[in-house]
Amino acid sequence: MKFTRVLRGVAAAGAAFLAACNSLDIENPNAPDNQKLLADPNAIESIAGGTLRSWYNAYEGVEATGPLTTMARTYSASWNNAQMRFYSSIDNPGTPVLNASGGTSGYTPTATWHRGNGAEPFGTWQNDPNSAQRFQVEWFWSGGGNEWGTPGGYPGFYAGMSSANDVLKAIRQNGLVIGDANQTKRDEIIAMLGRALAYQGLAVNYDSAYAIDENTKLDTLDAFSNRKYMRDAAVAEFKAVADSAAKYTFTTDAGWMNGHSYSNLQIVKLANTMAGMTLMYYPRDPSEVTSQLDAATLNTAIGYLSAGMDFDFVASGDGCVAWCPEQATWFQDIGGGRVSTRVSHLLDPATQTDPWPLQGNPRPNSADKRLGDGSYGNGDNDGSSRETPVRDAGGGSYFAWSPAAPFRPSRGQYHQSNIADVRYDASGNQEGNWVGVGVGDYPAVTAAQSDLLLAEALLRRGNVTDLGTVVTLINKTRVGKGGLPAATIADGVGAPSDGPCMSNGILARSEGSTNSPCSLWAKLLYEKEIEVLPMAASPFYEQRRLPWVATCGTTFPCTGRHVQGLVPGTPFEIPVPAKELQVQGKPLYTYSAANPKSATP
Amino acid sequence: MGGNSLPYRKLVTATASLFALVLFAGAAQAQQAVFTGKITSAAGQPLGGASVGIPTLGVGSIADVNGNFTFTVDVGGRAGRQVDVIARYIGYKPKQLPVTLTAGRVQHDFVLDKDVLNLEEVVVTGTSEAVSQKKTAFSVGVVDNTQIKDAPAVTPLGSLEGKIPGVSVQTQSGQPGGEPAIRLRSATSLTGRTDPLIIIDGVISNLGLADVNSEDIERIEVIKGAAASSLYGSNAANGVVQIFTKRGGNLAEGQTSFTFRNEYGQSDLPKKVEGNMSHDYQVDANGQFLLNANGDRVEKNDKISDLAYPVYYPQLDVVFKGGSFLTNYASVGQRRGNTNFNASFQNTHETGVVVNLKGFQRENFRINVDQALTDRVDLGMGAFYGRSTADQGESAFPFFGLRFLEPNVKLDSVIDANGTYNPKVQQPPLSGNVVNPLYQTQQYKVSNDRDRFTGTFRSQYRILDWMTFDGNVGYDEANRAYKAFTPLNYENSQGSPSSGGLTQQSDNNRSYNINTSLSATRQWREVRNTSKVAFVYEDQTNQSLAVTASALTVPKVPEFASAAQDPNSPIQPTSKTETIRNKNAFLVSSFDIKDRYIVDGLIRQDQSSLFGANERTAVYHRVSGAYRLSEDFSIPGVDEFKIRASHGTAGLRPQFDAQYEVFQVVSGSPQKVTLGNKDLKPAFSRETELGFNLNFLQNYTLEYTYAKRRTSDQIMQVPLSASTGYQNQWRNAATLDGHSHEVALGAVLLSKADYFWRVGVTGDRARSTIADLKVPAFFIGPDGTTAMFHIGKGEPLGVIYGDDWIKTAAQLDETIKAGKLPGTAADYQLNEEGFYVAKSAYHTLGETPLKAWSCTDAACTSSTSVVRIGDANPDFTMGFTTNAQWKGLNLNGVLTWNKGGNVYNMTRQWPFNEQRDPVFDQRNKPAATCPANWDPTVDDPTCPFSTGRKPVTYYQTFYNGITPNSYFVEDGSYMRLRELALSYNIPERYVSRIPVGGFRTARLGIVGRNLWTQTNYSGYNPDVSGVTDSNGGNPFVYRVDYFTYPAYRTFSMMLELGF
Repeated sequence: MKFTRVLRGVAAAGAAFLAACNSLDIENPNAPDNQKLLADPNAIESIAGGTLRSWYNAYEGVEATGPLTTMARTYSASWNNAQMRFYSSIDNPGTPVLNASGGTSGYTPTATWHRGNGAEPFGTWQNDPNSAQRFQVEWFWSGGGNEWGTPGGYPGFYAGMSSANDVLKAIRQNGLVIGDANQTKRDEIIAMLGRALAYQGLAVNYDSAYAIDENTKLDTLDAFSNRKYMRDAAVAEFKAVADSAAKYTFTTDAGWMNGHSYSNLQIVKLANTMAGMTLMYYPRDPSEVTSQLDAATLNTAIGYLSAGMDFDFVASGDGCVAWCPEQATWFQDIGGGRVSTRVSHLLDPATQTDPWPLQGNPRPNSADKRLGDGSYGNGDNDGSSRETPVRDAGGGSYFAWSPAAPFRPSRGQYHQSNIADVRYDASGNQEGNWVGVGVGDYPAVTAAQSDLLLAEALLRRGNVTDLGTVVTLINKTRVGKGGLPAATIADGVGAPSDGPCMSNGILARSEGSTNSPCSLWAKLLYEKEIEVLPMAASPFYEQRRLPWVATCGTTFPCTGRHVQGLVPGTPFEIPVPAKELQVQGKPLYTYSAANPKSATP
Repeated sequence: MGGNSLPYRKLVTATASLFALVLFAGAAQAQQAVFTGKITSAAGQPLGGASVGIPTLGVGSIADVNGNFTFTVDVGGRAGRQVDVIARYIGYKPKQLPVTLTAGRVQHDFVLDKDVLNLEEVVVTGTSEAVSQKKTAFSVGVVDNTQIKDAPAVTPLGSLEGKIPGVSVQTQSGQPGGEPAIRLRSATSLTGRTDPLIIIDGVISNLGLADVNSEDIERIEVIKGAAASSLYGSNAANGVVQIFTKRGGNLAEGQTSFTFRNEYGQSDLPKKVEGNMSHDYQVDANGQFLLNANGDRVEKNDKISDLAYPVYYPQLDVVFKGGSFLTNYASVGQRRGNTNFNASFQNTHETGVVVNLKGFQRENFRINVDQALTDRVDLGMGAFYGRSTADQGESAFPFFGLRFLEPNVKLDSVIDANGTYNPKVQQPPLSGNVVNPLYQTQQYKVSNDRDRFTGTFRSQYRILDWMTFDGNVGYDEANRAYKAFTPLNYENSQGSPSSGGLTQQSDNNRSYNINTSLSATRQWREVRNTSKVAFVYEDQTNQSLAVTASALTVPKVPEFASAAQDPNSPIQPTSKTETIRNKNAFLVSSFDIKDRYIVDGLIRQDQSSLFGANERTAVYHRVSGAYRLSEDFSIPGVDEFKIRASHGTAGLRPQFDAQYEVFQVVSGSPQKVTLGNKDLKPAFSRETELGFNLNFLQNYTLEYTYAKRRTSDQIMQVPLSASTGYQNQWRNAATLDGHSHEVALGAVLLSKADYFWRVGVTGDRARSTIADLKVPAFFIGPDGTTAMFHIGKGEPLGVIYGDDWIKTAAQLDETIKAGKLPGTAADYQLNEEGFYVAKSAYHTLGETPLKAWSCTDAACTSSTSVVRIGDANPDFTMGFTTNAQWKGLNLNGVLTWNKGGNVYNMTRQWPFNEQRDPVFDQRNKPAATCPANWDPTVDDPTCPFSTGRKPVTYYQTFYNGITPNSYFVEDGSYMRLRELALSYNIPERYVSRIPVGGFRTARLGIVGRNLWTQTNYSGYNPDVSGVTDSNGGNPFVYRVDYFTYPAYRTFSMMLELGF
């Protein structure tokens, strides 16, 4: 009897054990892994295409472009999203403006503006793991989540580089064939392009970085390569892309730039423009222009840019679900960032005062058709910051005027502006789905940017025979878009220290004079201010290498109005992020007003 | 699971169940001893439901409603054997009667004394069998129904607060239906949550306790760390909370019990936090704003915020409302023959205190049935179904926007006949972040619906008198439907319409566990051994499906039919499936020697799919012992004195995807996220617990426990070099040490026939230190952007780092030495607020506080502004409970005291950028009249700055780009009256006059929750925990005020009827 009971007990326990025969080796069904991906041709192809999305989302991320462009005083924002206000603020309230009753009606920042003038942290990249501003240092490097919650956010340039290397390893080392030889080559070229774009992004922003290829042993990676090495690696890779793409006929999948396909010949031109741009944007400050854009380098850049883009390299945003032209969500929105008054003054010096006065700037009447009278869309007279006059025949093609300026002046009058950039608002009235909510086409690089870089390189080379080409390149947009009087060789070459021209044909630095005609340099600089404005962080790379120009000259400090160049005290490049330094066991450092950049390699 | 495998009736009825297993079939044997009698209290009241029996033979009976009992023993070969007949009843001290077994009738009545201090309480959690608290070798906290029933919390975890030392309950949000976080003792995790293992009626629950109502709870047992929880292995380093629901096991034989409890009351916000009620704009003679040509207000030249607004609107009064609180509870239980059951229904509705929101509504059904099938087989089953809905006020985020509004904005103005509130609340010059909370809560619709089913089945088979097989199966399922609807043309505060959006998410979580065990209890002379071998299988599947439409084309249709069919605004589906399996086995053996020496040991092996492929097995153990000193030594005044020691190990499992290499597929393209780790192990916690239990002077108890724990192999998501392409990897990367002191004092101050007054005091102090860290020191929490809690080797866990402002001469000197300030100390001076400022800027528009820098090397070649600015750890926490009875009156109260510990007030910092904090208001400082043409950049003794009034730019410095800084670190001390309940038992002679229902008992009372809080904290609640990042985060470390739903108080009336 007892034995029978024991048997029953053991049997019952045994039944329970049977229920537990399921394996503990459970696969993760939610996400693929390396093993699954790198041996699969379809997966490898999607990874190759994905390098372009990685790059685009990082390149256009306002977390980096916002601080850089507002520091350059091309855009302006009092919003502190992406720490724009933090990084673009200055530490000098300016000169009191006395009103009629003898009191002050505000403060006019002057050319003595300076970042980091004894008031940390302005003018310092906050490369500290505790700082709320650390993300701006990390963004291009390793990315992070963006404000739209885009999956994966901005993966950073290294993510694209790593994915590109995975593709190239699979194709070159493992012999993976995707479809046929031509398709395989196409994907290889796109991966190379993704890698080159990553190299380029690191080279123009950081003082040093890793240039990793498919043969690099990550386990033994230690020292960073300096920025010059990164520049050369990027240019070499772009050249390789151009050379390869010229040999194979293909069209990229539309999904790789979300709705936009590019032929192999366009990829060749894109690579050429990016190679030339890398060389041109490499100098950190005016002194490096001299040392780093030597004759040979300029000739190389001219070679690339002459064979550069005659089209815009565009992706379409999907509302920041996966594709996010995030810069546009802030600076193509009248209620968001604005065009800095430094630039809007160039557009219409008669109405758009710089710095912004307490009473605001009135409706413009610019000779430049890109601004015109500032009317826009269906008018949105709702009393909000989106208020605009109903569009009329004089409305500008790029810019709009709003009587309301965001934020209180106490947050810094220099953040205020009445001019908004609406150039890529395809909807025409900022309602519903427009690029301001991340929907629609937004270019990363344009033909105009390529042309103007070429014009600059030609001017810097100094061959008189190039001037005709320079004039043509400037007039493409100056006349074609702005409707301004054409530049001519007779304008004279001038120099970068001329600073930009204004729409009224007078040098911005000499606006008090009635006879300060603009040189070719000045007109080129004006075109760059307007055309390069929405091109990610490019305005920062433009301004940092231009000489400081104020209405009282090119020597700092002086009391004149700021016209060109970075506000003194602005750091010229970004340090390796603290997170990376910590992982590598290296000491933390940063760039600041006192130490704005690394030594020239 | 050891605790799970014990008989359910034991779990529920505690001692009574030991004897409820007797089988009567086959009793008609020739040699029988028949035991009869009556069990009463010392006051002569019959104790129906009391148990009586002979444990060593596994026979016994339950007293009927008159206290009478009868049970029969088959004497057989046991004739002449000495046995003890023991009578027990919950809340009374047991009595035993030694008898020599012979055939025939044994008549004996038992008179039981009240156990006013619960000294005879029997616990089962972490032990090999049901055991009296007198003989536990580690600390087991118990909260029983008598401590819950007067003011039952909406969620059971709320019932633990202040009642058990070492138990910390953190309210992460005051939102109706929100579930607090709980931590037992010191932290076990650097970066993650520290929730204990929850077991409900034997079912391991991974789905929280938000669905469970407190009225159903018979008792809660808590063991706090590895020294006790080793029995539960790799999921138990945070301790175990085991909940037992009512099963009708306490009822007398033949008794049917019915309870109907209603509570209705009102909620309100005890404190309202206003913003800056002044401004710094120019006004005309009538106090109206002067506007410039563009219609913008113009700031005064002094930028001092010291003028009254032309009009004020009571914004807080229109956003916060008085809410209602309602619970209905009905329960029926019965014991008859071999069956007992309890069935209940509970309905609760909390509206909360925010207008436009309906709050939280829940309906629960539960039934538990036990059935003795044969003389050796018992069965039990339980089923629970709960359904709840909440409109998730926090998701609408009104608490954020409310902090940015100027007081002259009329929030309740409507713009159409439908009563739509005006969304456009920005005023020129414009400011960011302002929103109309009324518009938000009215238009943005969020619903969070849950339903939960839990089923249990257990069987017990007494194979031999000394050997028992237990088998349990538990099933737990929760479904959640979340929906967030932003209507088409939903406007922001500037009046910009949006294209709307719709998100819908369905989560399905289901798990089952199977426990089997074989227990043996043998007695050799004065040594009693209980051993158990068990196998536990756990299987869990979590699935979720979410769809988001980022643009809508049809107004007022909250379904995907209205979604834009636009590739540029795609409808985005996501889904996830997680399967988790665990196989665990353990052996536990306890020795009770001479009733005074207790020795216990166990070993357990866990295998889990959550561990890395190369580390699939983990082994845990426990050794513990107790010595009842008072059994050997007579100490005057001491009734019971036990010393105890326990050492054990337990683990913490990684989350599902931690071991895997993860690529995120975005727009069809895989993107690297997490590097896999096949060597990932569970965190390993080893704990030593020492303590004593002292009962003295008949009416006092004192318990002290010291626990020291080390949790190594901390599972952390560590950043990787960007060169890898991956963002991070989960690793075993740190060791966390913790130690804690816990004290509990209980006293019965009055115990007479008509009077009873018991008080309890609990206190604890816990500290954790990061002993080892295999990654560079880093900052974390409370969200993905702001990082202020420093994780560094040798650092206490919970310290807050950030910028500091120069307040001392030493700070000034060091900042100058670091080269961060020009000049010498003579160039700076203290201002009225205790901050050093530049002497040249003092009392001018340019006056600003200065940031302190600290040298990081002796020569001060490098420096940092980031220093320790606070510590979230309280100095200690205490709880005070009282239960007083006078005749029919009953008073229960719980007061908690949290002394020390800092809170970071981000709810203040963020609006600083918009001048919305009350500190900006300078009207309380002396005014000054100065010439109209004064220059605010010069210190003029006749002008406003000279009186200490500061410009808005001065205070805006503290905003500090939202980077943490010492200005917002506040003392988080508070004392709170959490529960206060006063009830009156209406005499039966009045109750019987109720014409319907046949009720015999009635209780009328008033109940208060969170009635009173004493604190110097400036925000709504000092017991806050900020948002947590995507990996969870530690709510006990993240003491950050982050725009959460404020906790509110509730005051209600209660009526309970029964028979």
